[in-house]
Amino acid sequence: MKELKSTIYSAILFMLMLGVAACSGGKKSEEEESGHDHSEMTESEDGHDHGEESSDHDHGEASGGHDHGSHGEASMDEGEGKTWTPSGNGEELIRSDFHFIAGAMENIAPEVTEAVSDNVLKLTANGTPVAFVFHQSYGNIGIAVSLNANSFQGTYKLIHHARNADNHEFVAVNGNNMKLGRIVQGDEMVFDESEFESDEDWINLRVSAAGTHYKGYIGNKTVTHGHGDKMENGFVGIMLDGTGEILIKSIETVPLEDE
Amino acid sequence: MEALLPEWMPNIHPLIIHFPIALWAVAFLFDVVFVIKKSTWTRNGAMSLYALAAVSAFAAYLSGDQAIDMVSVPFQGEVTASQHSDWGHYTLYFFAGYAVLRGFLYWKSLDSKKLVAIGLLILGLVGMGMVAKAADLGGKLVYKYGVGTKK
Repeated sequence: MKELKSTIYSAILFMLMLGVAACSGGKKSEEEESGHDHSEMTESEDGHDHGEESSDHDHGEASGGHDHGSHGEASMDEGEGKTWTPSGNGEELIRSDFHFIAGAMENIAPEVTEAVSDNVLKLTANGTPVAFVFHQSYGNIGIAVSLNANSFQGTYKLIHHARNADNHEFVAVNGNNMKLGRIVQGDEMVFDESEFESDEDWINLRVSAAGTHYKGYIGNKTVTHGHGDKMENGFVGIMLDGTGEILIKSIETVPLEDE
Repeated sequence: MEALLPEWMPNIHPLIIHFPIALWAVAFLFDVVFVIKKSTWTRNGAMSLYALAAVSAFAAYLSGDQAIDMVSVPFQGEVTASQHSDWGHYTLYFFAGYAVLRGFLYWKSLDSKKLVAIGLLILGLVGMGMVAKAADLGGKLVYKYGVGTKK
């Protein structure tokens, strides 16, 4: 009887500790999430409608003073929300706003051209895998890219939490297939994979990484949703593995914070 | 099940989530009464209500898991959605664990002992706090970010 009593009291104590642990765990994750990026939201603060594009141009922002020419890990500035749209010369634009973590300029031959009355960045991939990322780093992040990949054969990815080509999170699209996962030390882990339907030329590919929750959207429709450990802050950008042309109208980045 | 919903309602989650909240809260009240003045009907009532709360928490978890991929979450609401989901999980595990513990004590007729009853009451309060936190985040998703307000 005495043993049973002590078992019961232990069980009650355990439940109490479970409750307290859950409470403190939740608090800790909230603190972690809110503490990742203290930068002020700028252009994207009220940019909840990700289908629209702003005309703001902020090329080269926060890129001075760093050597982003190599494929190694570059130093990281904390990024803020913005909507990037192309203008000017393609190569200069890529050089000022991005750095490569795989491949090089000649693998994408960037050009700024006009389509559907907007400037677009035309990339012509030659089959060599290439990845270019903004100079700023982000933790919890939402990314929305307006693009047209009708003339591209292969896989294009939105990457985030990227340290280098072998360590990043991704949402990869190949035809009508979307895959969500991460690459750690070169090994791929897939969290979710699904088919989607879209008969539009231009799609709005959206990605969100909030805590341990990762999602890939086409427009406002969730296509993939997976979970994984939280990764260290990293760069945000685009990776291409294929041939043909891809047109990019805008890239919106929104640091996600608890409000 | 979806066919039974009104055409303006995006999913069944909003209908189900009130059950674990209300059932747990009423079960807790039964427990308070039981600690003050022991009676068979408050003991039986609390046990039944906690068990039903755990079952309905499981239904809320399943419907929430389905709902999150059916609604559009604006970027600024993603962290809240993530926390709501996490707290939903914590609450489910706690409710299930508590219901099992409570069932065992009930079966062994040990839940009437003063110290055990007080311990269970404190745990019930912790459960209230957890479901309140999950509900608060769910409310924020709807009323601050407008998630699930349009089909």
